Amino acid sequence: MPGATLPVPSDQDLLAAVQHGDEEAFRLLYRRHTPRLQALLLRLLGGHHADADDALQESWIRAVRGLERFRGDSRFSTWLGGIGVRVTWELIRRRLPDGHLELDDLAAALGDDPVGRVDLERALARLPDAYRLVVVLHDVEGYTHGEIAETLGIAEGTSKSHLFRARRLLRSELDSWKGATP
Amino acid sequence: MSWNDDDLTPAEEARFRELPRIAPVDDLAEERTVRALRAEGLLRPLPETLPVQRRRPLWIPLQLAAGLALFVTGVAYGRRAAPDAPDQAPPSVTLRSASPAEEVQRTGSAYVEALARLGTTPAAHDTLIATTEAEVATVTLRAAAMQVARFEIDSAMAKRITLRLQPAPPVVWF
Repeated sequence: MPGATLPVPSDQDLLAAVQHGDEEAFRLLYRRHTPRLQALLLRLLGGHHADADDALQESWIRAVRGLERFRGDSRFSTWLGGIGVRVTWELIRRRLPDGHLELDDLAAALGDDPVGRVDLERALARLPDAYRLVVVLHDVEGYTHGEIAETLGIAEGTSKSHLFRARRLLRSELDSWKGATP
Repeated sequence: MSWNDDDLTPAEEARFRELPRIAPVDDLAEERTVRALRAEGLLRPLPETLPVQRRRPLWIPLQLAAGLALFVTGVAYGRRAAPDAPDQAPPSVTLRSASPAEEVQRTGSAYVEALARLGTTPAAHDTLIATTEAEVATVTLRAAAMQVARFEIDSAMAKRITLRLQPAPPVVWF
């Protein structure tokens, strides 16, 4: 029939098929949700592509392994993002215990952005890891302190204090760059 | 001091909102993930597409017929060209790298192999590879036939082969 389009399978349909090992369904699901997840992981990891790729793969593997635990009371993208955050947190604690990530190509990876946006990305990337995780989850992704505490396995008060310090550092960093601009 | 004292200003909120929410994805990352999931038995590879299933049975008789025809040709020619007794073979023949019958067999095998590859080409690889394989098979067949003709260039069979394999005259449009 002219103009007829195939129905777009829902996440639930695809997830049901993936649980039966359907590779095509998995690829559709992957292509639908990975750009969003990749942006989150890159930002959490301060623009480190190699680490973000590892975290991305590990996140999807854990998601497929644990699909039966996804009850559908939240959106799949939220559930997957939570897995990505936990994988990233583990990666940071394992590989970079006191690490202070430097921005390398985060801005390039996230597209051609106005200078101000790149500055913010750069300032985020320069934060200590724990601060960056909390501020990205709270101010960029919209998590509550309760959700951050649950996802990262930290106290809610710790999340609040990290956010407070992270914002202070961000402002200080951005102000210093503003002052340095001719 | 309340944590609310440190709330973002509207301008700061706007800056956070403007941050891009998606990033380009490397195709290789998808393949690596799929392979890892397959290795864990969590995904099954995609099944072969239908065109291959439909096409393959058509090639099987063709392969068999071509192989049989070349084999029979090779055997017949080998019998005709071989000396009556092995101990009477002249030294020049034994010094050659291969007898005509062996060469026919070799070229025939090459042709059958090329056809077999064509028959097993997955449709997922699309028509480009299938076309290339078909060209390889055709070229090999022509080479095999010409080899048979060269062994005895003056024979009636050689004349028939060369006549059949001559390229068609170009079409002239007026």
